[in-house]
Amino acid sequence: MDRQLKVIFRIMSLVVAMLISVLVFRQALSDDLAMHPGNQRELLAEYSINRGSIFTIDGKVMAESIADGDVYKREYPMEKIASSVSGYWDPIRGRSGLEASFNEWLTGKNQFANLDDWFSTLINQKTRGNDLTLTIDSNLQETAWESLGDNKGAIVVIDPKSGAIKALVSKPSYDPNTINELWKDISTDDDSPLLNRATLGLYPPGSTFKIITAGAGLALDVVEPDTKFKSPGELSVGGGTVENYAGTSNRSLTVEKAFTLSSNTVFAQIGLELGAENLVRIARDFGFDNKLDFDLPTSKSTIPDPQNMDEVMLAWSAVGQGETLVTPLHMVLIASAIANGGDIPKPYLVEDVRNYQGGIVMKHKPRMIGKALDSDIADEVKNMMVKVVENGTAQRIWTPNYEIAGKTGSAEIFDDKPAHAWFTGFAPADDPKIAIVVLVEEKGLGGKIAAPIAKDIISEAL
Amino acid sequence: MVFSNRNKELFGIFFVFIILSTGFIQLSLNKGQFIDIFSLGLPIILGLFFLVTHLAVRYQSKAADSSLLPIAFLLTGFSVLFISRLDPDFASKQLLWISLGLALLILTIRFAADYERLAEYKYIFGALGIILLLIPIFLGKEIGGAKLWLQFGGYSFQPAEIAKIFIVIFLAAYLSEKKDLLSSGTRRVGKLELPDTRHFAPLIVIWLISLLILIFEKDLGSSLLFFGVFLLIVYISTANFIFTFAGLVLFIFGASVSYYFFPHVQTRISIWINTLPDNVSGDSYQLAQSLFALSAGGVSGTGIGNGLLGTHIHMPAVLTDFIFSSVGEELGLAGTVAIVLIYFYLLFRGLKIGISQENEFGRLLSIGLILFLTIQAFIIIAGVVKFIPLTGVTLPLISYGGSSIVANFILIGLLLSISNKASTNG
Repeated sequence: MDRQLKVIFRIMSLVVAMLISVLVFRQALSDDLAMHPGNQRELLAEYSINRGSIFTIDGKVMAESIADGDVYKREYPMEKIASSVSGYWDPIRGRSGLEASFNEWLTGKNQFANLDDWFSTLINQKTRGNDLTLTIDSNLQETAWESLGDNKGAIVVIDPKSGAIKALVSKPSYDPNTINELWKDISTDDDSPLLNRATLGLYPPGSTFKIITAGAGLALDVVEPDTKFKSPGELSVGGGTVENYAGTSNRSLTVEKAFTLSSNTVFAQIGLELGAENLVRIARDFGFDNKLDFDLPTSKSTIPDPQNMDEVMLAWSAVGQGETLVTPLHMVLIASAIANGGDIPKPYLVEDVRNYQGGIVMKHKPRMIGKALDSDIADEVKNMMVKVVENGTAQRIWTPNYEIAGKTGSAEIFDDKPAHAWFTGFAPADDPKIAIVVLVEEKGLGGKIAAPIAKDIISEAL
Repeated sequence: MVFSNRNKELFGIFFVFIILSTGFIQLSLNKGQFIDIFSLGLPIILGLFFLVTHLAVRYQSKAADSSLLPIAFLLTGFSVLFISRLDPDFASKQLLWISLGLALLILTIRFAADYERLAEYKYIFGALGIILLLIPIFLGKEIGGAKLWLQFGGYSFQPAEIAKIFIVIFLAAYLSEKKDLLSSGTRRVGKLELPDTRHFAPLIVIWLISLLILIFEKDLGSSLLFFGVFLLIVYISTANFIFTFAGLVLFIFGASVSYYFFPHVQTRISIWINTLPDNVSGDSYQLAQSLFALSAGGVSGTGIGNGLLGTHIHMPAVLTDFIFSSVGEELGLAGTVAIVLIYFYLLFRGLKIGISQENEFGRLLSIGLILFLTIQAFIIIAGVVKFIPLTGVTLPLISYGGSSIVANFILIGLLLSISNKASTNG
């Protein structure tokens, strides 16, 4: 009988070994099951987390979790106005904006407040997640939201010295309180309300790019502000032509005058004198072709490879048309660089992260992410930008109270549609407190459409 | 100093009490309750039950195996812990069943102290076993898709749980008597020694009973369990592979035929093959939730009281067939492997008791009993982890349920009696 028992014992040992293998497979190696559509566990877990709140710099609540029995509801008191910043959180629809990029902080996974907190987590006593304090100023955010009206477009307001974003608006937008009910409509809407135009939208920069062309020309000693150029209404280049907006022509213009009046034909000539390599090199110093690191997802602004630029494309690129694309956020950094003596600040939204007891667990340290121009060259460009507001394309926003430096743009999209209207600038020019970009889609002239919007916001800010 | 078996047992019970107490304290903490002596109310009551049982064993069967009671305490302790966590109303009922089970265990070691006498009543046990197995076909009530319950007043009773003990007593007695008949070849075909055709009769009878259970009671688990254990006992007794081989052929034949003719068998198989369609609902719902729970538990588990199965996620059979899934979620791989190994150790102890028996009946009885308990555990564990098609049997000593708890304590009582005899004789 002992022989049979040995056989039985071996068979049962094999059964146990197989069971343990299956258990290892089911428990230790089955992470993919968490994402199975039939598995409500992630959803239930989401609902039971007391996420931290999001505050503006002036203490307004942008997002908070309210207890509702066993679970929590996420509320956004600023509704549509701040959704480009906060994004949305919904157990069914997921997360976007800061709710997504700071999810670990908001859920509290990232940092325990203290030993008590760690112990509470061990025994599953749920504590609140961490709170975010943003750089956003609620008044400025609201002004920016109102100023853009019913237009499609984006506005970004930044402190050029620190990179702190004071307002960030993208329209059309959505109310994150009702994201789940809105979902069907907004996810299929042709105007893409879910797209954050300020950080992800890529647009031709139009004449705002002349900041870079001018900076490059001055930096490489190709031109001086008073160098004169012929300014015909139309310029033949290689196999094509470059035209001025609405075909205006002058006999001759200084570089400074051409900048303030936004002459395409003059800047095309500067571009040709610079050459593709130089133009693209300086544009890259300004951040083109570089992934921008930010608290929200960003698109990469791009400029064509100089090897692939023929003369026509070079001429058009110098005036911001052609295949060059830029995000509004990047554009406000270009203005910030001029305001800042050539230094590009790292943009940021989250000033600090605090645990539920108020202790600061993370604080942003402002820093520069690049040097676009030497400060004397930046100041020469700044002077030209001041002239744009004094007696150039943006003169309608001139004010005796403080000096505004700016550049308009009317980015043509060659499609019988009106141009995208740009304005980017900063104020006060001698000691910049804010830099701003306004982009209005398909509304025509930057000086007429975008600059007045910028004016409203600048006057609110100052 | 050499510890007596009973002192080892007492120490084991104390040790298990400490383990269970930490489990109950963790549960209270995770529920956000204040910790005081009442947090340990259930383990203390349960511990006292086992202490009383220990004293009875100390008085009645001094030399009995020392690890059976502590292991039973550990498993039923887990049972009460998880039931009080999943549905506290059932914890006190389970405690009642455990007290009844332990009372019957004490009666068993008292009245079956001389267990060899059970063999004298083998035909009565055999007949009772078969009647209990088949009676639900006529009087049973269908619960959860299987017709294996008898109802008396407000209580339902699962006769198959008791039947397994009666059937093992019968088989052990019958085979120890007829062993020579069965194992001596009467015909030769080539190198094989074939038993006389008429000795296949008991095999055919048990096979038919298994099929009846499968077809009319829709109880795949019991059917598989009875037939499987029967084949193993016959093999141990006769050392003849022919019966086992013939049994396997019959089993495969029976299983294939029932697959083609009976939709409830097809359903079980299709759930097994296709557990996770994108829309988890209907037939495969519970098995899918079981896999989600096991996966969520990971290696170390969520901690007792932190799981979602049965509390946040609807799970009708979480106290019975799927209690192992809840253990897997809250104690993780560490907990599930520990439980598998505890059953394996129980099997090892049972086989050891068998080997130490001088008489054939005692050997076959103890081996048959322990095989019944552990194979039943492995069948349901393998089912809820989707290793084999799911069959509804209880997880011995852990699942909620009176018949199962009572039957398994009687089974442990018999093993205690047998082990006492072995050591006394040896």
